[in-house]
Amino acid sequence: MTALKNWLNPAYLTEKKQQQIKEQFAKNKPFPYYIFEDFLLPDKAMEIRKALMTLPFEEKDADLFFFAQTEDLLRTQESLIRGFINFLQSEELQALIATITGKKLAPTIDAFGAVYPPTGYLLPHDDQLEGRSIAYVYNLSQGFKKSNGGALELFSTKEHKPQEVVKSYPPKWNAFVIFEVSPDSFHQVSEVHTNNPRLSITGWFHGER
Amino acid sequence: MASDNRTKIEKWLNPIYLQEEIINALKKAFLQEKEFSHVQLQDFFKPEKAKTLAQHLQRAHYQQRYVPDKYRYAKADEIGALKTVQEVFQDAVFRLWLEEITGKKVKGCHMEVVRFVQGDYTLMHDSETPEEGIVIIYDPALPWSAGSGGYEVFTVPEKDPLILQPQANTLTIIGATKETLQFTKYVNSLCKDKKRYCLKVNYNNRE
Repeated sequence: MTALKNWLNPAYLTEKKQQQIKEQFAKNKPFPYYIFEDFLLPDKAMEIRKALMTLPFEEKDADLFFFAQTEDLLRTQESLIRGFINFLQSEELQALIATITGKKLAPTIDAFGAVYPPTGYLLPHDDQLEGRSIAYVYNLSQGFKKSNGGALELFSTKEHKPQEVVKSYPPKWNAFVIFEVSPDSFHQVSEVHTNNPRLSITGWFHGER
Repeated sequence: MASDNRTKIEKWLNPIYLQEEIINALKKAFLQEKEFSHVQLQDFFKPEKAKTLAQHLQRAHYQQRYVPDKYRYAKADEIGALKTVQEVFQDAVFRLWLEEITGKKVKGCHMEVVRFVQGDYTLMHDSETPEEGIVIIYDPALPWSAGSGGYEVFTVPEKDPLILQPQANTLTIIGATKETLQFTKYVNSLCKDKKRYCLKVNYNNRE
């Protein structure tokens, strides 16, 4: 249990809480998701934010998005980020995510740092790609108001086609969002209207092949 | 009939674009673009025609189209006063002029009148079936803020994309292949509530 105890908010360690989250995850609409508020121990969250901001970001500009991304964080030399990646890949956290989502997970993940500059956005897509089972976003933005944009927005679907935004979450400090990747998991990031960097570490837990 | 048609493009086009040496230069420029056959014609329509056309584009009635994973923009649901410009693009003499510049047959002709506001976009899609032909894009003489997106991007595999920023009273002629995909970049808040209007005409080589 060392990995969890060193990183995770202890409120998430009880079996009762985990059972509650599992039920909420399955119940949430428009598709299964859950938001762990105050996910990591407060000091850890701050340290990761600082470490992430020292990494180089490369601008990504296409039809679907405009934002900036770090290198593949699985290859990072930055020791704190390395530690966080090891935590995400730890057997304990994988077991926790598997319990909550009811998914059989492979011991591998993807991880990138992302920062959305002013006018940054990500248009609707479902994230589906071979191997991806559960998507995650660990929010490291501070002081985001609704009017600042950058919200994670979830779409309702009809026959696997996105219809309209039914949930909208402005990025919240130290919140860890997970959702099930499926033909219905359409989501977007609304345009950012602030110089305050919308910072996150994001990726996928892979499924068992 | 022929003299009427001649009158039509003479009435609308900047006369410079009807001069033989200019047409020859455009022809050369179009063919020389190795990555993407295209040529841009600034000050395309005569100033008074361009001005009236811009007004007609602003006054047209637009219908919102939103398929979240494909596009969000508005399309004019009736041609109305824009019929006059449609007649120019359909005009037999105009087509001959286009064929002269591009070296391609331009037969079937489809015009779309579109409007983009903040938050609008189109995406490239695997399900799209590109068609070989000529695409023309006309941007009216209306202000547009650089940096606010809304530009046109044409791509083919393994080549640099062709990016066309909206330019006032400018016609762009593009040669599309069976691999050409196109999108309109997301319009961001730097557009300051300005709207981008545009005429797109697709010509194919089928009857």
